[in-house]
Amino acid sequence: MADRQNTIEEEEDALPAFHSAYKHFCVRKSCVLVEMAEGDIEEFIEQNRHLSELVDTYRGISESEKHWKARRAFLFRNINDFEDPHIDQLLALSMVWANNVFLGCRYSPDLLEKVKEMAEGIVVEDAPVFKTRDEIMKNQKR
Amino acid sequence: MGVPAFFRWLSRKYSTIVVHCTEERSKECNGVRIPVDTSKPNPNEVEFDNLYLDMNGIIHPCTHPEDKAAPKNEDEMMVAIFEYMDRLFNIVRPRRVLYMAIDGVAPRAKMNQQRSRRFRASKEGVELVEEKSRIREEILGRGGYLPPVEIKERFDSNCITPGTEFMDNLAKCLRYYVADRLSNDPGWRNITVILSDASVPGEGEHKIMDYIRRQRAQPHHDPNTHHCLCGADADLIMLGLATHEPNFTIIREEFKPNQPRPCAMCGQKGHEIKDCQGVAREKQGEHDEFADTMPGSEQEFIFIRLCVLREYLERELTMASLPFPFDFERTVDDWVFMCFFVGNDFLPHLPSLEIREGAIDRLVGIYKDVVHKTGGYITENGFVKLESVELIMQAIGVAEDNIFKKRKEDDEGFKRRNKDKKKRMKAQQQGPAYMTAGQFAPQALGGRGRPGVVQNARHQAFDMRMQGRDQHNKDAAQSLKAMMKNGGQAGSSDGQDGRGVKRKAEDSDSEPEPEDNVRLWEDGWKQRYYKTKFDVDATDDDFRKKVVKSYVEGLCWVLRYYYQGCASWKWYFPFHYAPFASDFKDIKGMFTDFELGTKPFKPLEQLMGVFPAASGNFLPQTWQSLMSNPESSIIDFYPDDFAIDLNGKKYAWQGVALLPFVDERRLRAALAEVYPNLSPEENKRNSLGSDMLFVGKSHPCCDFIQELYRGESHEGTEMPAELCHGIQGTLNLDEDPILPDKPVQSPIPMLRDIAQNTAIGVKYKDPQYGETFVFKAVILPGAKMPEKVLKPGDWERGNRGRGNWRPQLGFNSNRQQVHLDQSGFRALGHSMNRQQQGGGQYSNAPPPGNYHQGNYSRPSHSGGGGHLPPFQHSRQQGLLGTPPPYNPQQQYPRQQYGGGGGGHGWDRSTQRGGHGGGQGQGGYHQQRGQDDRRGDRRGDRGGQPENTTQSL
Repeated sequence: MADRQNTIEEEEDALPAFHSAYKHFCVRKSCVLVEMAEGDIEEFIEQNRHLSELVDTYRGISESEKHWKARRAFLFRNINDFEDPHIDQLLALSMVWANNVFLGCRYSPDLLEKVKEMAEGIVVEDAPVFKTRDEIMKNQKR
Repeated sequence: MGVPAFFRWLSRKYSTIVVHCTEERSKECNGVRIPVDTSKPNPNEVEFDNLYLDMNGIIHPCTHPEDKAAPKNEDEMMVAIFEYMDRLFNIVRPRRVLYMAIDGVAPRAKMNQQRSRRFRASKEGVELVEEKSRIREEILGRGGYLPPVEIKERFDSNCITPGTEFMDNLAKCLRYYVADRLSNDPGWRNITVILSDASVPGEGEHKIMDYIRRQRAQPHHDPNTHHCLCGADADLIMLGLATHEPNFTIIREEFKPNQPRPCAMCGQKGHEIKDCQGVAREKQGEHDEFADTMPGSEQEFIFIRLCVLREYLERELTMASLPFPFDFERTVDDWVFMCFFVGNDFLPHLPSLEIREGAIDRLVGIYKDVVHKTGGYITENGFVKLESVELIMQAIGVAEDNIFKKRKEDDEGFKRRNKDKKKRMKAQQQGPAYMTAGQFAPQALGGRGRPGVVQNARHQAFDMRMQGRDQHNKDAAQSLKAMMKNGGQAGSSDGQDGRGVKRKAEDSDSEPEPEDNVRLWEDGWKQRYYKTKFDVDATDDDFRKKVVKSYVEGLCWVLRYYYQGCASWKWYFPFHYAPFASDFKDIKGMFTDFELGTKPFKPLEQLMGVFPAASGNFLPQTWQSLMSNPESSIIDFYPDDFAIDLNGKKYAWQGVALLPFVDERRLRAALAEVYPNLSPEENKRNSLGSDMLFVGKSHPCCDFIQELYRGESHEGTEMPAELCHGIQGTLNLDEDPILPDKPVQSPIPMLRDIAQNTAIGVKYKDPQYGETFVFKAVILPGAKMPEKVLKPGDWERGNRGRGNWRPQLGFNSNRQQVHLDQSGFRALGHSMNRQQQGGGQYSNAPPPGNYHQGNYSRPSHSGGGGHLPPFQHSRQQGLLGTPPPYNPQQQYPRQQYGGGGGGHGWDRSTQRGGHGGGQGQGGYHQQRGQDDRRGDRRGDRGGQPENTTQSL
């Protein structure tokens, strides 16, 4: 990795765009994705092996590591309020939150309010920015 | 296939595949319409056996047409659908089978596309209504006048989805339609009708394919059945090729790009709703009612002849010096497979492959290399060889960088040209002639600009007067110039007079550019792409592999879907974007097989999967609340608004809708709780139905089916193959059957009940095969290949001796063509001479060597035998055959070949060669087409070079 970095710095002039992208990436990597310190989560997982195994089955196949970590934190945080028959509702709410943050979906204001409350304390670094369909249409009209 | 560009590309590159339909119109006599007798020979000079209708391509334009006023209610829609089908039936005139397939529940792989279409359609509908009422209000508020709107319930096109009441109703109407036509229309007398409505799972076109595949695999199938499939989707072409049936034709509406749509406000064409000025239409000419719709300008149909496409492909794909024998059928399959890379309904297309940029040609080039290298084809019977796919992908990957750069350049060039064009158009744009221009031009009340104070009114009035006079006095070409000049003047005078105006005009010219964070043409595109599209780092190999693996599965699934039927109802591509071609590394082990025994959704379940909450009214109450209640355990499937990634495109409808994927487990769990709430009627709509088979009284199968009903047998009965052109399948009794002598009630008030019904209906099931059965993608033994249409490749190079090729219009190479008789030629010569020489009306004496003289003085040329009467009406001679005086070069080479022929190359006696000399002239010409053609296909070119004159 270090080698790679050197070569990249040498080539700075040749590949400015790539270099800036790469720098961007390095900076972001050092960020803690989820504020709830990684250590805490590790510990939580250690203590609740059974639960965490269960929660891992809820990972969607298209979820990246970053997205899953955030959603997992959401699930851990709230799982005590949703006992077994209601676990699907928690999953739905976690998806509402994740879809809003990572996919740009809008839901009714009440619902969004609710999931934001539930997700309090989970900070997603560098969340993508979206334009919803309504916004695009409004712009095109004007 | 969601690739409109595909058909455009195909029909441009292989133009001969398109044949325009000949349509016999019904006549009207004393106000009574006389229906066309479709039992008469097909005016297209070809007879089709089976007609398949992909009904959704008919339902959509009939229920919410884009180019004319929408039908007022459901009944009118049904009648429109019936009329459309009658039209198609009249053109195609099938003689054996009419298969009508409505989309049923689709495989999961299609659900994401359906979802995004329905979410968009719902929003678009609401927006249109809102915008209309907003503009209305604005106009009324400013003191304008608008006629009151007729109250018409908005038709939510989302109801064209299996499981809705509308679809159920449609199925009933179609049963009525079939019974009526079978009882009353002579053209339907011997037809077997199969109706596969929305209660039978599967997309319409794939149900049709399944039928064809399953018929082909049973021994009674007639390998020379002529199929005709109706539908506009480009993937029908792929499907048709995938059947390997030699006679396969597709019929579709003629493709006319960029048809103007009527304004949603005033219904006139030429402007959009936001520019609507509300002006009355200008009367155009004496017969104003024809101004918009020229008589006969109704949407026309075209045939696409797949056998001709196969000829083209054979030319393009043939590879010499292969280490194994070349098999054209296999390369067709490979070609079909490669077309999926460019776009299909189930996978997003690879970012580097754009059909407009010649992606398929590029793929074919690469493909030939790969076949040479690996020593084998890349697909077999719909199963993919992944090593070869990897080689192809890698070859594209190498070029990816350059493709993106070139795309950027092309794009900019295009934008520049477009801008210039717009400017020109603007200068030309005009309203009706009575409208005032310049400062006096009426302003759209709904628009944002307010008219300014009129300045220098007299000068402007002068300009306008001059402009008007100029235009009336000049012919078309000049007026164009004049308009451009005037446009320039108007612009400059604008600059002097109305200061604010000019800037506004410029503003509207420069459209806002959608921002593009990926910038594929700049270094580092891969990182940026993965970051922006997937929100992952390019170094995240695991994630990238996951995307590639899913895509590889997808390619396997799609090909299998086309060749074997749906391999898995559950599989889907779980991302919104495709990976790059260069990412396909080590894909060999990425796919083994699909889960067996998967089941499709039930209709109402699928409705829950594809509808937005706004279309919930098609569902039972408690189901609806799952879509809107915040406590619902599937509420995340139904966002109110969603992001659209324009992905380099300009309009929202072209972009990628970022909708969440449906979690099947959670959906089923949530529905389990509300299932008890279904009414019996809804339960019926939610159940899987069966295909239906109908025949009329004179069909040989009718008695057999009637016997079944009499016997009340409740087991499936195999169809006797000999009664129905070798069609096989299992028949089951219908609970509420259509039976002869049992009146059929009309579901539509404006149509009569059928009092004297003679049709009979029964449940039908395709022949069944084991789950692991493999349908072979081969030409069946006994199939006769249709005649070649294309010009032989070496024809131009003076090698005309061997084939008597001539260009073919339509289906029939022997078709009776109209010809002129002598008086016709006289008339033609008369007017042509006048044009050419500009002389007086009597100067029509033909100059020596004039072409029409050649025709009539032919006997004088035929020196040898002298036993030939004049070729009076020989059409081939007269119009296609080049007469001697015009191509002396041709004569000499032929003379050399001709050897023992007569003195002149064009001597008719020698041309008759081996054919019996006793025949009269007429006999000779009729026979020629068949015998000679067959002769030269057998390849005996040496013996009869004389054939050529006719075809020259």
